[in-house]
Amino acid sequence: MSERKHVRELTVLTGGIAPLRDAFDADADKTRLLLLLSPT
Amino acid sequence: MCRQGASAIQSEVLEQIDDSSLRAYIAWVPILPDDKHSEAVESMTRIPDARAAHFWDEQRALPELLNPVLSLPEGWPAWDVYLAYPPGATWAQAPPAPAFWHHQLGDEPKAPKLDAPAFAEQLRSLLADQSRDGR
Repeated sequence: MSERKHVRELTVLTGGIAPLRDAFDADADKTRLLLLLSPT
Repeated sequence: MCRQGASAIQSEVLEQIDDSSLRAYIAWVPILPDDKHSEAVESMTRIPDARAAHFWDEQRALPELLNPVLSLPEGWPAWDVYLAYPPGATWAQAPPAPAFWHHQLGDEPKAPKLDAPAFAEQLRSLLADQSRDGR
């Protein structure tokens, strides 16, 4: 059984949303969730 | 509310759906006065699933971009929202409309308040459609 060990990174969207948008589109063949949340 | 929603998504959706083709993008947005990058780093731990990627939207661009997509009242930033997209949906020029969504906002949005088990059931249907389509 493979474990889902995962190094969590927080990508900062400083110059626009491109990193998130690009990740979203790169996974276009998948079912995806997008959550917009306040951290507190 | 958002932290509770995040935990609910982790425990009642992601942990219940063991499908490697599912992905989750969590955008942490400074909406409330105490919202800081450090709080986002801590809140990330509420969704530790390996299929999840976390982002810090320090300029609060995403809530404004999603407002018209979700048909929210003008001036309402889209936050505390949980959106699901089928395969094939692409962002490119503008955020696509989700297949379905839940929220923890007021009574205005024309979508259900977050019900994590119901969200999981809808997501299972979406994933089943994906399997049937051979994706």
